[in-house]
Amino acid sequence: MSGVLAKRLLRDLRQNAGRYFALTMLIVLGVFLVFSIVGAAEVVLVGTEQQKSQNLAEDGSFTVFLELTDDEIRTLTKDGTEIEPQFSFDLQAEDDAVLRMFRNRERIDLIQLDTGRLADASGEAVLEKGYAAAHGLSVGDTFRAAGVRFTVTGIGSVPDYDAALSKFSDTAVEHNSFGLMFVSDAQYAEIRDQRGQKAEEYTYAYRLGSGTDDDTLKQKIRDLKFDYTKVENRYFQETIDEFLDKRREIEDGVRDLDDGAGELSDGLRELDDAGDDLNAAADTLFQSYLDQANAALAAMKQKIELTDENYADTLDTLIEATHSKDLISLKASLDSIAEFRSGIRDYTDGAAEAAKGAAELADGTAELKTQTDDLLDEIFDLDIDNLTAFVPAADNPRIAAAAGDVIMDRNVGLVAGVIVLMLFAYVISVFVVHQIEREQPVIGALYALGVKKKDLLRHYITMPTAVALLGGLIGLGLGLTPAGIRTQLTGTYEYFSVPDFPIRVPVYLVLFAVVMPPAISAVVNTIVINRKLSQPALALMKNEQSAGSYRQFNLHTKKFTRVFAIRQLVRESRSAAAILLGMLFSLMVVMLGMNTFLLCSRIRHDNPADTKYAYMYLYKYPEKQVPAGGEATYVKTLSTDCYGYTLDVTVIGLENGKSKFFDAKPEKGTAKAVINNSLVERYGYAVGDRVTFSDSAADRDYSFTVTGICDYAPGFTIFMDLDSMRELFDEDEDYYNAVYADHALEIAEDRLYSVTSKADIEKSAAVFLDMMWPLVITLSSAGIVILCVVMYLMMGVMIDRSAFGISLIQIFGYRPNEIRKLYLNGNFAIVAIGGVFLLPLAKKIMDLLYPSFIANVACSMDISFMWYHYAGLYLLLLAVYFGASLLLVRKIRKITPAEVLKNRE
Amino acid sequence: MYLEVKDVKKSYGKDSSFIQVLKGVSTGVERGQMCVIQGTSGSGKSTLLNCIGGLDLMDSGSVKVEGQEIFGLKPAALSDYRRANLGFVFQFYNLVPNLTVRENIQVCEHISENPLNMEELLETLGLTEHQNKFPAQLSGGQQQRCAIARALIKNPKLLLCDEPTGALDSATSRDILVLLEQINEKYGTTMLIVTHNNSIKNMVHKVIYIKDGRITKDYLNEKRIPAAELEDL
Repeated sequence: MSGVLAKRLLRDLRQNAGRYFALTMLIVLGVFLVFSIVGAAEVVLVGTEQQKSQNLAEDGSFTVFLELTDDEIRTLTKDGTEIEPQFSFDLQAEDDAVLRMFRNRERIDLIQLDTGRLADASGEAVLEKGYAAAHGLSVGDTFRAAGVRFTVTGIGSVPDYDAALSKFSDTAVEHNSFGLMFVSDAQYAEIRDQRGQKAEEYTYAYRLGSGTDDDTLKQKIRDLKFDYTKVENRYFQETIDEFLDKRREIEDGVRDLDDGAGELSDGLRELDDAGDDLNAAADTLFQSYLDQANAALAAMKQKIELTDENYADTLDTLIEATHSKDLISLKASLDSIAEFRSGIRDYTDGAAEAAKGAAELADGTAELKTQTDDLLDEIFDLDIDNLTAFVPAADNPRIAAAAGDVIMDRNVGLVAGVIVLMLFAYVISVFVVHQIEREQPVIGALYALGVKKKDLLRHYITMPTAVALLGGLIGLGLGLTPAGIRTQLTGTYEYFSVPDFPIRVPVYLVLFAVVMPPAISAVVNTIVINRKLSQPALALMKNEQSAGSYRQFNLHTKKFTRVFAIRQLVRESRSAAAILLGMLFSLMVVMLGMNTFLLCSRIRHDNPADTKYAYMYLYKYPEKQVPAGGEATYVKTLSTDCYGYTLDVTVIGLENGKSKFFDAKPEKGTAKAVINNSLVERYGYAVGDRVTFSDSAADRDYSFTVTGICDYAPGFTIFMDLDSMRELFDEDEDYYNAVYADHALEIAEDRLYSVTSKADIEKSAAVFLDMMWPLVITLSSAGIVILCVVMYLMMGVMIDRSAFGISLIQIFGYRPNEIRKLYLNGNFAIVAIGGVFLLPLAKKIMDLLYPSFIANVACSMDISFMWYHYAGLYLLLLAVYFGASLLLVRKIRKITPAEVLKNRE
Repeated sequence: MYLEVKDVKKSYGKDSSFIQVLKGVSTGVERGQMCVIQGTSGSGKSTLLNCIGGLDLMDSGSVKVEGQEIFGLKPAALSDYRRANLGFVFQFYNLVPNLTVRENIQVCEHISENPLNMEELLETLGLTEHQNKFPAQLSGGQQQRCAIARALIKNPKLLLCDEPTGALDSATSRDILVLLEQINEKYGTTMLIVTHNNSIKNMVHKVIYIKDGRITKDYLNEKRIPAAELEDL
């Protein structure tokens, strides 16, 4: 029996060719859409990993002030870590472009050539492919850099420059103005020895040994001895000097104090040493006076000898006896000298004491000096090591940039895939229900004749399942053509410097394409047919419609056409629901494309529009004085989590809470901040909320109360009062590290980490749309085509189901336009009214899902619709309806009154 | 002659599957007559009815209704012809299942320029109390009454009935035939009834036998029996 039944299949296919074609188209489109978008993303993701493995991609890189010695490299590589110098010069090339010149690599970040060979002689170079394409250079062509003419021997890419950014802080790749070149060792040395080149960058790439990690290596490099005085960068030295000046001042003061104490001690010691002479002299002086007095007394025939001990009493006795004025005068003189001598003694005693004290003071200051040195070592911990940058691969925006970029594509594609599968499941269920109902008498008859349920099941499953399989295979095949995955890859290949990855599609995508559609078809069919076959064969043969099959209700309107349309709508409510669901699903796909378009186009518009400065200078070595015409700020980067991704949040400190470049007016306070609208759009924060961001380097969280919202689209940004920010992050009260200006400032390049101009912002903002354009086009057009197909299919089902009724009223003499009004106007009401609700619903659903699609990008998310977006889509919806109606009118015309004579309702 | 059929031929298929169903049929029916077309299965009676009703295109010949030739009319003109002149009653009623009795009748009322009075028709056909019921809630006889009411609401010049009692039991068949008779008398409607039933010929004015695509008998029934008295229905 199954063999006989099988003969019906081809007839069924021929009879319903249009419908099967539309169904196949739906599957083809859905599979093509998902396969292309997700497949392209997977090609990049897998290709990047393979490229990294094949070309021995670095685990990270570090840059040092002074070239490492062989001993130092040996120290760093003892644990199995591999290190390769990847020194470079930036050479001036033609068209004002800069070419970063490297030696050929041997162990890490190997060059993958798309064409040609490596450079091995002077005057030869391999060019990075993006630069070569932008400058129209091919193998064998020549170009000039640093005054030297080079012949291109090869064109390729390296894994550490997926995104060929000149600096990490660059916002967009510009192949016109920056590229890479790789030369032989000899050629490299030759250029290096030329005069007039900028400083060589001492960058080393590393691949970690087993059992070690980035932090360990970084600490090892820091632990290497480093003589910072040998660093030639004058701004580095200036900053060091500035830092050390304060130490030197203290050191000098303590040294002066110590020296003074020593001198004092020495002087007092000398004074002490002179005290005995002084005392002796005073004694001699007194004794001389006594001798002179004794001589005078002897001349006066007085047999008295005055001594130190008796002169006072003796002279008093004599004065009392003689009242001699000479004796009174003599005594006064001797008293005076005795007093002087006593004073000298007191003085010399004091001097001795002072000398002793000064010696103690000198000891004390010497100790102070020693302890001060220790203290200064502790306070003025320069922590200067050879490292200028240590960048693990995960933090390097140049590495695996293409892979990071396509994650959004993959997320969007997968969601589109789920939507398409749901849509397909629903459409096929309606399709199958309709077919089964139409063939109920046949099924009943076969059932009654003893055909087994499983045979019937197999029979009715075969065609839709085969169509689904065919659709999946065609979709997969189309995805593999240049119109599919390769088209989706175009943006990636144009922007990123990656090799042409082999098109390898993951198994899950193949299963999605080939297995899911037939599997869904088989499952839905099985469920529907099983339900139908549970009815008695007779009921099937009679094609019985129970009284309950139609909703019985009275209508108060007396207008027949309205009554008929309502009855028809209710009768076809399942098909109507299918149309509505089909509209919803396909509108969701369209919304996905529209949201992506709005996101990118608004970033392109808003980022430059909100950037009021012309230049932003981010300092490596800030000057003491803020350059004239600049607005000094403090910029620090924190981070926040977004669906498992860590995204940067830039904190900007504004002087006195205001700025001429930002509309934000942050209040004073270390826990108060104004946030930008990007954070509001992505996280739904509002004024008064408490927000927390992390400083991963310091392993610390910072919480802020939102005091305001600022219209500033670029990235995630919060604004603080500058003083409060300095206090929060423990910086000096005059610290700044960034300057904004409305014109170019003259700041030495070596002082800066980066210069960002408004033009850079414009370029980087435009990149979003350029990169996403193929995705936007694919999603929108596929969504619209799916909408057309679904509407045509579902309305077609409704017409088919009404074929008998149409045929009947044709017999009664209804004209085609009257039939159209009766049978299609209800559909118009479904589409017109449904559209009013479904457009905002589809938008709402996609808006809720959308943040997860851009989880790895810190950007604003203004995807709101203006009225004209809704109006445009609504008109599109109606246009699709009228297009489908036009086709269906032809279908109605094909229905003849004979239907009624052949069939029964 | 109200209805004039002349040398109508109709065939289906090509080559080996070619079959000529009507092989030059000629007949006629006067205004207000009830006419029965009888014949075995495959004799061509339904095909003749369809050709007269403009539901099927004849290969050649002529069908005139009140002098209007329908052979060669395009589908749109045929549609207008049906709209203006005809009413149809089918064996299996062919009511629109999701419309009530009244709404089913309105389907034809809607396109009629001078419809009969709905309430009166409902009353005549005994459907007043059932007018808000759906077909599935009605008996077979009630459904056929509804189908007849739908056909009559336009006040057609010609009522074409294809096995109107074919799906009904004897009593109900009689009721329907009585009804048709009443309508014929009341409205003067010309009726063409295709049937297998041999008894029905007794109630009509004219009888046509058709066999293998040709008319074998075509006569006026001089001894009409009222429908209520028909036997072996």
